[in-house]
Amino acid sequence: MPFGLLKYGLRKQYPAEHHFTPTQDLKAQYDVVIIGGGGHGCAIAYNLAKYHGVNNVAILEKSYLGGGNTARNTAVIRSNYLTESGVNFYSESVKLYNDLSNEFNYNVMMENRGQLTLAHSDAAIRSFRWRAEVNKHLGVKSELIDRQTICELVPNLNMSEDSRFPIMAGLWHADGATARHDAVAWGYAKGACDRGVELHQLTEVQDIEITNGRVTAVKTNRGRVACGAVVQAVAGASSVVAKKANIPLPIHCYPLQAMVTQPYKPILTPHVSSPHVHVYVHQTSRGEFVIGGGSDPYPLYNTRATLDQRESLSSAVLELFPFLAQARLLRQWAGTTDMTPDYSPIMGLSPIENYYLDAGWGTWGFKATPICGVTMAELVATKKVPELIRPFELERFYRFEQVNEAGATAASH
Amino acid sequence: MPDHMSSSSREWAEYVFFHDNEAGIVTEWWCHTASSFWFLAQRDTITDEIVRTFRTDEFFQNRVDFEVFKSGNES
Repeated sequence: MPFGLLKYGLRKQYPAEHHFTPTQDLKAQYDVVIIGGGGHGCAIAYNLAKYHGVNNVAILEKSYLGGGNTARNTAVIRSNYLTESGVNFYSESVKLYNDLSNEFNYNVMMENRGQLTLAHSDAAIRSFRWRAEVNKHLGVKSELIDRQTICELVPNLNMSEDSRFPIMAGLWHADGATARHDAVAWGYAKGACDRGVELHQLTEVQDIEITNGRVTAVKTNRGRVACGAVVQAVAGASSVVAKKANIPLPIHCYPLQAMVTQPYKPILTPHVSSPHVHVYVHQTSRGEFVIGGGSDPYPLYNTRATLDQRESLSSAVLELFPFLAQARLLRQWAGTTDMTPDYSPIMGLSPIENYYLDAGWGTWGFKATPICGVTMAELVATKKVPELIRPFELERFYRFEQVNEAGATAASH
Repeated sequence: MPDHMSSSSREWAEYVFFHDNEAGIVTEWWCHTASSFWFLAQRDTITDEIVRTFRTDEFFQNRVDFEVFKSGNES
């Protein structure tokens, strides 16, 4: 068998396939400059090129493709949110994810495993009932389930009534899924590059030139680039980049840590989350348990892992899955989450006419990658704000019209 | 801080929601919760380093009276 593989590798009829454009000099001008080469940035470029015929586009990434939060999230895809705006938005994204591998002919290892959120109090059960009803009303699969059903879905979950906070009920989201986060960025980037988009890595935007309320050019470490429009999709660096364009944002950046175990035989199918105990976990198709929880307690632009969080996450996950006690931790890391006051993103127009914002993605950005690509590309190409993202405009904060998804988002509270 | 009685909604929203989110050295109030001791710290938000800490009496020698709370200005 290994000889067959060797012969395959050496045959001329199967040359290695370049996924992305080889590094080249920046052109003097692009119609669209996308600052940020993560999942969102590449998804926007892909949609511009494929569906709007706009391919004079450059993705400027200061580090390496998908090396920011796209590399660091725990890859959860779900739409069990609380508000109508949120549910409609995220459910569109879940639909796009279900066909994403076919869309750009790249395997994102989509796993429709289902997502379970646990209630350890009456208050939680009430909020889950609310979410389930809103979800069902808008065509999303969510239901409140009892202890018996939870036992059937997750046989090895600690259902003991002697634990400090026994599990009382659950919110079962059958539409929930996970995917391979890196592949999402790579698939979008490859699809974009195949259609003429230029990917420029190790290219940092240092300054943004604005004349008469319009962006005219960006200055990078590799030269100056004139542009017709700019989209910033830089997650944790949102405030830093926006400051170059004098755009104030309602964002605070906090680290969010996660960790992963060595691979084990498959034993857990759904993604399980307990906001009460501050942990969520799933077992990937490689058998590794990916564990995440609450954000760090103070604002920071550093992706270091801490012993303190390792201990917190470990004790929390053992509370739910005691069988993990001997599991070996492989790796621990963090992302820089750009948190908004209402736990909803900032998408759409900025005070600058041709400068578009895709920011404030906090801990909820990965699941929205496809719908972000579709809506932001539509905005850039048509200059009209799609109705689906209108509730997330930056202006909403000036009008006190927050879209409050705190309860359905993070595990920190 | 804008005066909430005379500022526009927009000005007030700006104060409530919009932040510097500085990537660099910031000066912050910290509280050691075990002892309820409040102090100031200069922290580098990129390197995760505490540069300096100050006891409050290093900064404040006299009582600070805020305009809005002076008698006659209360609402």
